[in-house]
Amino acid sequence: MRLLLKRPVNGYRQSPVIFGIVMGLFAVGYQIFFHFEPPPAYAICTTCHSHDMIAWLVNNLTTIQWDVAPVGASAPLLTPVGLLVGAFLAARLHREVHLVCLGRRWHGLIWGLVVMNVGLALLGCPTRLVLLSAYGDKLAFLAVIGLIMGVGIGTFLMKKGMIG
Amino acid sequence: MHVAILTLSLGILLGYLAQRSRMCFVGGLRDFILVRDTELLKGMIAFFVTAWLVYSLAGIMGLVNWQPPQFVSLFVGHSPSETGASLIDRTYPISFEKSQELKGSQSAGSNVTLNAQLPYALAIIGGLILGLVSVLANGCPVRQHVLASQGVQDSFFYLLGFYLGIVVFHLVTRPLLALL
Repeated sequence: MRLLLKRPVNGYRQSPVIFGIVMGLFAVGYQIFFHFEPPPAYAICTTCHSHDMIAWLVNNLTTIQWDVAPVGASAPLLTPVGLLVGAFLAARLHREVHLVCLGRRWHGLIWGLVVMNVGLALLGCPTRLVLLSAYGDKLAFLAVIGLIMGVGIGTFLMKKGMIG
Repeated sequence: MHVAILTLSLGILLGYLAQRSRMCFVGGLRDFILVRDTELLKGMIAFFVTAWLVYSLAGIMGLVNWQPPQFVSLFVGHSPSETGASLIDRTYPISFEKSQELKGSQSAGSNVTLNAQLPYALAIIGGLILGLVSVLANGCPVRQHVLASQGVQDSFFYLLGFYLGIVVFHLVTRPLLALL
C-alpha cells in the first residue's frame, strides 16, 4: 500500500482524483476481466453488496429465501466489510481512530434506513449511479440528476439554517 | 468463493484510499454548492470519466456489452421499454417478477403510458430523496463506512439503520413497490 501511495505514510493525504481513477479502473476491470455480472456495472455498490451479503447469510442460515443478484448467489459480496477494514487500517496507521459522537445518533439510524430502502428500490448507492451512468444507463443518468437536485435542495436548506 | 475474495480485497483498497482522501460523492456536490470547493467533486468526475473511457474502449474492443450512452433520447420521447432499460427491469432486487408484470401490462395495452413513464419519475424522485437524505446524514454510504471505522458513533448508528433497512425493505418497501 505504501508503494502505491509513493509517499511517506505519516501525514499523507491521498488526492480524491487518484481515488476516483483507481475506483473507476477496478469497477470496470472487474466486470471485464472477472466477469463480475449480471447485473452490469455492479462491481461497486454499498447498498446492493450489503443487501447481497446479508441475504446470502439469511439464505444459508435460515429457511427464509431472499433474492440475491446472480453474481452474489454463490458467495457473499464482502465489499462493505472490506471498506470497514481498509478504512480502519488507514485510520489506525495515521492515528486517526477517535471515538467521537456528534450528538445525532438516532437521526443517523433513520437516515441509514431511508438510504438503504431508496437505494435498493432505485439502482443502488450514489457510487453505483455514477458507474451505471458511465456504463450508458439512461435511468441512472436521470437518477444522478435527481441526486444533484436533492443535494442542492439539502445544501440550500442547510445554508438557510433550516436543517442541521 | 473467489467473488468474496475479489470484493473483500477491492473493499480494503477502496476503504484505505477513501479514508486517506476523505472522498464522498455527496460531500463533493455539497461542498461545491456550499463553498465552491471542487476537491471532492474532482474525485467524482475522475471516477465517471475513467469508467466511461474504459467502458468505451472495452466496448470498441468487444470486451464488454456496452452501448454508447444515448442521453438525447431521454428528451425526445423514447419509452424505457423501447430501449429495454426500464427502472423496474433493473430495479434490484425486485427485478424478475416486476418486469414480468410490466411486460404483461404493456401487452394488455390499457396503461402503457403510465408504466412507461413511471421509471423516469421514480429515477428522478429516488435520486432526489437519496441526495437530500445523504446531505442530512452528512455523507454517502461509502463515507459513512469510513467514518464508522474512524470511531464516529453517529456513523455506527447510520450503519445500524442501513443494515436494518434491508429487513424493512423486504417486509415493507418491496410489497409497496409491487403495488405500483
